[in-house]
Amino acid sequence: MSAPILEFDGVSKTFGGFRAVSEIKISLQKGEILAVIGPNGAGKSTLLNMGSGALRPTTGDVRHEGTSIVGYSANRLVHRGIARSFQITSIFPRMTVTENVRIALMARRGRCRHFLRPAHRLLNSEVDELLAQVRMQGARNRLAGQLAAGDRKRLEFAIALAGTPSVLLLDEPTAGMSGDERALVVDVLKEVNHRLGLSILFTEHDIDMVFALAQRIAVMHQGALIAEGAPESVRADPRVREVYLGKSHSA
Amino acid sequence: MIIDILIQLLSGVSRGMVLFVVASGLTLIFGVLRIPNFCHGSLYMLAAFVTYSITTAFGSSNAGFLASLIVAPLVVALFGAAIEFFLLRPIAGREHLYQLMVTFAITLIVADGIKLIWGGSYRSVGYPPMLDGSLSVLGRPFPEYYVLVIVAGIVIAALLALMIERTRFGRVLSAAVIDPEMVGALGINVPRLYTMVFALGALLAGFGGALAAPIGSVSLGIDNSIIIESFAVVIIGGSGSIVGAFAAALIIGIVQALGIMVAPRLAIAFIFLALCAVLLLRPQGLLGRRV
Amino acid sequence: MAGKSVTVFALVVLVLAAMPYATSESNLFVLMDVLIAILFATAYNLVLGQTGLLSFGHAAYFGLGAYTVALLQGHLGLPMLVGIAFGPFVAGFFAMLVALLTVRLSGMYFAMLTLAFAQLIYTIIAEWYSFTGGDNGLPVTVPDYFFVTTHYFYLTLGIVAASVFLLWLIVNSPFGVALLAIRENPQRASFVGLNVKLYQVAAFTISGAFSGLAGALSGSLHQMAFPSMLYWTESAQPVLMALAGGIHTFFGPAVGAAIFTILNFYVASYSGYPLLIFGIVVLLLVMFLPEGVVGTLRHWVSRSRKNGPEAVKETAPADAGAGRGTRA
Repeated sequence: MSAPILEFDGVSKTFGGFRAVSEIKISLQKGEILAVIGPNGAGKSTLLNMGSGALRPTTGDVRHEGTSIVGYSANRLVHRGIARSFQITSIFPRMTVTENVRIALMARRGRCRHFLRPAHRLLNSEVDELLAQVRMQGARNRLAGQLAAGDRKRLEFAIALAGTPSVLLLDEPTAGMSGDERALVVDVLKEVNHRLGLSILFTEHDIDMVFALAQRIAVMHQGALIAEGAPESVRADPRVREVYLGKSHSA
Repeated sequence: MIIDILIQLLSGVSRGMVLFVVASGLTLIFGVLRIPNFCHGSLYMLAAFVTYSITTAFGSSNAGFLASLIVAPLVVALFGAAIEFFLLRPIAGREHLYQLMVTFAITLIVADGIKLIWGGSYRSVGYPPMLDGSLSVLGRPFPEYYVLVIVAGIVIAALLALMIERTRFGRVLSAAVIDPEMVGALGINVPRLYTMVFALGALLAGFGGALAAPIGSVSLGIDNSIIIESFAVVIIGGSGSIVGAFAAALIIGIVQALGIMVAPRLAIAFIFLALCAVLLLRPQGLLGRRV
Repeated sequence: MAGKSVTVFALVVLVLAAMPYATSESNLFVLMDVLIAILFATAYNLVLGQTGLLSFGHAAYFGLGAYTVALLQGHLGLPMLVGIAFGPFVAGFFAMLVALLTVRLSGMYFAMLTLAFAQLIYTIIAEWYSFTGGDNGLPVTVPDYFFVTTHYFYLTLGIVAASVFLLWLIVNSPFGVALLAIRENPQRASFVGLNVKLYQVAAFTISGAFSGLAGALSGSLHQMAFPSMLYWTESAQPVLMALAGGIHTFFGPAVGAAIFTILNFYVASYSGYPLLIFGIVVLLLVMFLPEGVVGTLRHWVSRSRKNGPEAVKETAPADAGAGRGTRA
């Protein structure tokens, strides 16, 4: 069994009186694709936020490659190789697609402290490579804010991949996408996982996409982990069916 | 010596009351519309000049004084409503910077506008005949008018608090301070609310100006001092909070009054030190919503 | 595109360099005020247009630059040029201190704290009579060589041109792009690996330094440093200039600075009601030209060049993108 690259060790998160996540113990193995599913309000995004430095766990530990990363700022985690996408796509609206990817590249490589040389000539071939990976070369000069929702999500992937991460945390990566786009995203993620060995943890609502991509599935409900394992065993798990699959999906 | 301090304290309280009346308007505007209304001081100044004209027209009589307390705030409220309706509402969707600059532009226009209408020289408004005497406080004279100011401040605070607690408008206002988007989603006509709040804020600034006219000077430049102090009250008291504004205004009024006696240079800096401290340590002020 | 900008810039500088032979001395004085305002407004926009921070206290750094010259001269006997050289460092230092404390806030609260700090600095300078001369201000003696208007003009032109060029390099550098990203989406900026607060402080410091340089030039030009240079209403000047020209362009603030300085000069000379006119101009600009003169022109130009969906990059209008700016 390969080593865990990201571990959540008994993490909980409370907001005021509300417990969003309780005592979650789960690991993302190196090179693995793990899906975290569950109904709305299950705490999936909160978990992701704790893994990416956006939130600090109330209790418990989060470890990356064995080192505790609790309290590390988001930008520090990016430099450790943890990249993420957001449920509400987060990009730079009034910059072009190229500029969006370029700044991600420059920031990750520590180039942003250079303040006298021109930026627009830098890293163009790397930008093109990343855009090609998400099939967005054609939109090179478009303003990111004017892209359609699905395109924006793909741009966000390119931004995340620009950081040459070892771990990708994706919050509902195919929300709002058409069937074709969804298939494209699955292909891209499979490819980066296979070719670059990227470990991926993603949350999703689209069950088909989850079964097409995930090697392992974890199910959350009201902040707790109720099932975990290979896709088929999760699918058959009666607790999961009761809480989630059974109500909206015919087996 | 102690009596001197007490008298100074009382005059500080009265000063604080004027500041409260003006700043309460500003805190409502900032709390609901989320813009620091730079022209708030100009509205105060405008009211002072209108008060001058009315009291002069009535020959500095009691009737003139009472008339000015009613008319000046109303004039200014109307002016404020016009500013909000014609200048701020059309650009409501833009970044706050633009609305801020509009209020700043109004400051300039009103300043020269007043110069155009009333001329640039210093005016004075005397105490009304019925209140031009002094009370004896522990053997020292204390102007009767100051007592009126203190009473007026308390009455206005009570009225505003009542309005917020008991009237529908007040409750909508409180809700808007907490979450303006939610208020819109509940079916409230937000643009109209904004105009009304701005008008109310202007009314209060105007009342403050009319009330303060016999105490301070009526001249160009009084907008500047009151706006800085009003912002301090809004921040220290907490944006949108009437009670907070009352407490903050009292504190500022008293500290400045006593400070002038003890360390005048420090007293002037006090307000900015307090402002910096609050913004750094507790930006929501005494009773404001979480920043 | 960059080459074109540089060419135009060089041409403008050359034309300006010819001015002492083309116009009167009094016009040269106005022109120097314009140049100083151009530097101030351009430096200011590094914070507003480029980084997205609304500073309402930049007059403090401008004034500190002027006072550096006056104080170094008055207390240490150092010549004007030394003062001008030190001005940016003093101003930049204070800007850095203020920034370190203020970047924890955002939006209007950030603006108000920058205003509060500026007023604090103003109050200290205005009240510390023994050190700064208080309300009377502090004189600046100009050495004989620079007392000749043409010579001081070339000094000003040289310093302003070099500074604006430096700022242009900064804005177009990776650092400048990082600031832009921070303006556009501070959250995403940190999630691509940028230490947002650090960059905000850096931008503020650089901006403050160049503002101080402008102030030092101004204090020397008018041979006086006075407290009202730091008063909060003066802090509105660079904001208005940047807005007038266009905060989303590099040369917009410069154009706005030129417009307002010249407007101020003529209005003050020929009208009894300069504030009224100025206020109305500001109102018209804010309400009808949110992208400023240069921004609007650029918008029209790219609009007319548009040739299909895969068009040349356009300047987005003031209320597009990110959904911010709703009054709520």
